[in-house]
Amino acid sequence: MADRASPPAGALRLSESAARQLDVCVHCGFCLPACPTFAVLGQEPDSPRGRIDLIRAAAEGEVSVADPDLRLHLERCLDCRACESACPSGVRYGELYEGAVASLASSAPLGAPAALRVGLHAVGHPGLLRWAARVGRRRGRLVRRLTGSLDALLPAGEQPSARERLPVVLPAVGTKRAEVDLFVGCVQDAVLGRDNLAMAAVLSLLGVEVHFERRQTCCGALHLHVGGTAQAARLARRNIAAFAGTGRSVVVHGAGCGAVLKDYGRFFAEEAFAAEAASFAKRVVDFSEWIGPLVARDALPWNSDAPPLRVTYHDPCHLAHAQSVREQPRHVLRSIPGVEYVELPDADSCCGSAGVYNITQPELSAAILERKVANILQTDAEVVVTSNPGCALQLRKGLDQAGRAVRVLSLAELLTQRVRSPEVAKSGG
Amino acid sequence: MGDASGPLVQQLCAIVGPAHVLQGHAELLPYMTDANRAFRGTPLCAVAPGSAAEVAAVVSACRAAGVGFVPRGAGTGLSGGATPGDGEVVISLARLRRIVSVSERSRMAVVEPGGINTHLSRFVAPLGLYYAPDPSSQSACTIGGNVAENSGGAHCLKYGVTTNHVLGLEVVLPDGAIVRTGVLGPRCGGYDLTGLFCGSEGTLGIVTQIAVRLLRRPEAVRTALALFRSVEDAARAVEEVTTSAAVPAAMELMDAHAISAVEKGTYPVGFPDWVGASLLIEFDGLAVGLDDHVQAALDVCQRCGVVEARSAQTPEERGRWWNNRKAAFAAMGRVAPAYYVADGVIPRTALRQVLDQARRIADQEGLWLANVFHAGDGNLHPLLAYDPAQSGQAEAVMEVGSAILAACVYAGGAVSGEHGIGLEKRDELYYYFDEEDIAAQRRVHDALDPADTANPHKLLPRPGRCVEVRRAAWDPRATVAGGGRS
Repeated sequence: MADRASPPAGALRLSESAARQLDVCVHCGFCLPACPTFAVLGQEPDSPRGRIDLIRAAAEGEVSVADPDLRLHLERCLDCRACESACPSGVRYGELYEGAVASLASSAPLGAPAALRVGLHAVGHPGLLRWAARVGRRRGRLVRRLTGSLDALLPAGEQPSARERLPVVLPAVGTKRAEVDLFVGCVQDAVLGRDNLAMAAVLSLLGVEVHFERRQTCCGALHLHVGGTAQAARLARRNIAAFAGTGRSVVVHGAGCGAVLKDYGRFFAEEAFAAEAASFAKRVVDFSEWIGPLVARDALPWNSDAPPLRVTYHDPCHLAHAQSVREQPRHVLRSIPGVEYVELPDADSCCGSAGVYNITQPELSAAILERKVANILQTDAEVVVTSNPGCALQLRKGLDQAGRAVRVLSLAELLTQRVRSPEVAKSGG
Repeated sequence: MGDASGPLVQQLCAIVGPAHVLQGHAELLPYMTDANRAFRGTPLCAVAPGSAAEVAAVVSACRAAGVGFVPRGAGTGLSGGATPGDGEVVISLARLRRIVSVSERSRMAVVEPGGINTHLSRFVAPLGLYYAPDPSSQSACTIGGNVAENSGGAHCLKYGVTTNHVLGLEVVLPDGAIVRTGVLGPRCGGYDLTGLFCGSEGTLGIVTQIAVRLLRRPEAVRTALALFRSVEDAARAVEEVTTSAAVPAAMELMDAHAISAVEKGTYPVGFPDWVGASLLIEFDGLAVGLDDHVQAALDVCQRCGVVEARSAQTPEERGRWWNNRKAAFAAMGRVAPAYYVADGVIPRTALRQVLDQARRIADQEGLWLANVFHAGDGNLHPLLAYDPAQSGQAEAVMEVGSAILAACVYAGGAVSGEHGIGLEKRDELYYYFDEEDIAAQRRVHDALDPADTANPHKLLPRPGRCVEVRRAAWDPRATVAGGGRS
């Protein structure tokens, strides 16, 4: 371990905390069946244990950071963290992987298309992103040229954005029982803004006063996926400042955003700012976690005339594996009158969206999606619920390509469709 | 990378397709060890055939080139059985993972070797059936690997080990011939080749299809957790339960060190601080009378000084206890970067004596020892934690492990219960076999693999080491005190 403290010249550089994860892995192999890329490719450099071997060798200088095989197998990782759920020792693979990728990216850019890198600058500027999404929908061809498959992912039709429509304070309906801050995200709000509006509406119906802090920005998740640690940390500082002093829970609908926000403490582990970041992170809560205890059968003005509906649920990786939130969304779904909940086989296996993975690794992403779609069709569900914009777009694309009319809804959106009081539910648009 | 490769690699690329041949140093890293990191070799390449015919062609090419090949499932083995020698060819069976057929009425399934143990049970669950052998790594290990190692598991106490559940095999022999045995063969008769291949660790060929027995799920299961202050009390309870009460389906012991590791891992149970040893006892079968069996076993525990005992109230609670137990080895990462586990088997009457000896041997060397094992059938798993980055530690740990195995043999036991011999325990076989015993086994091996290309150097001891190994066997303490036997 002494040599890890001072790695050989040209070796992969890991933070102390990330390097410690190498010691926690005892090579048992329990992670292999949990890994979607190992399931598709069947070779161990594309498994979590294998990637840990590669990272270890690169950190010790046995493998060069310039070795194209090292990059190939690390780039194929979804960073879905299903391996963390499977690991008996509790290896924090995500931390190790993101550290390794950041170090690789600092020596030479990873294989993301140039248009994607430009795009990542845009997500730090919500207004620019919103504009791009709108132009994208109107002029599909331009976007297709810029970003390849992104266009296929964008939902049709104009999307309301919470940033444009939400008031600074949305009052509670009836007796106020709590106040929360809303985190709306960037991609989430630009392409699936109605989920944010639905979330605000449901919270309000539950008697919650919803605050919208306009200085909030992108969480940094997409940057982390491709090794942009420094950019992500800058965004984290802005968000922490934006919500400083409110003391309220920060409710998030996007699983990817939630996972990163909850992890802000780690970003600044070696700085004085760490305590502030950690205390912010503790306030972050997923929408389903927050409403779970409140949603009993009588909590919302349910619409008893709503037709029966068969619903299944896809676990976003960054909710199930990164935040260990599994039961709460299911509990909410089971509480909705008229909803027949069916469990999805391998529900917590990645859909292949994984941040920008469907753009950087289109073939693998498609193979992983194909398995997911087959599982969804097996349930005979009319609606598949998932609470991450990436997953939602990816599932919709897969189901459309399979020519199936299964609807993809977020948890909040489904809830708004099952309550009376349409004027509140559709307050955004 | 294709330019640097020799003719054999090019031939292998032609057989399985270049996408299924890995040969860069970085890509081969994961194939250099199995779950036992004390052994490591650099293979020539790793190939993943997509059919039995491709396996046969790969095996033939290796033999023609005089290059050894190493079959590999999920690499969860603990004895170095899937660790390549330098320059050998790793044959990964990860792509051969189909469930070929399931026959509900004859309660049988035919599977390919790369399929995962629990995936089979999950697949046949809607029929009320399951596959009984349950190694603790069953969520990841492959059935082909289980056949190679003749794996056991917690429930072998009642149900037996892998060989008791294999009904027939399709095997690619080291010369490339494909033979089918048992129910997969034309008819029965002749030698029991199925039995020969089970536990042969890939040294006689590569299994490409396996017919396994499926069992009907027992009508009822009762699981109890008994907590003791000392390992000695718990071990006495094991002895008494297995001799005086009904035989449980499983009986698993964990000592305080093992508990401390697993409680820091992903599946904690919340054991109280004072616990010196826990005993997980399970009965299954017809619902009628099952509670009486549990009560009888707990009464015995009572007489052996149990402090607290309870039955699982829900399937979830039972699941938590089992996850905790089955994750115990892998959770060692909370304690140290690597561990070595010995796999000795002893008569249950010697449990207390050997556990005590093992503890003293480890203490003498200042090593951290944890015990988590299949107590009901006397299959010990002393785990020794170490750091592979510290030079010499792996060797020291293996030496202490060998001394513990010697103690097992001294008590009337054997050196391996279920993890296989691999590279790890080859020479320890001399603790009780003499040169003639080994020569008979070697003749069987040579008949099928005269060129010695099938997983070379595994399973059988190196010739000429009999005398020095035996001397150590009969004086376990001298092995360690003398600072090693080499």
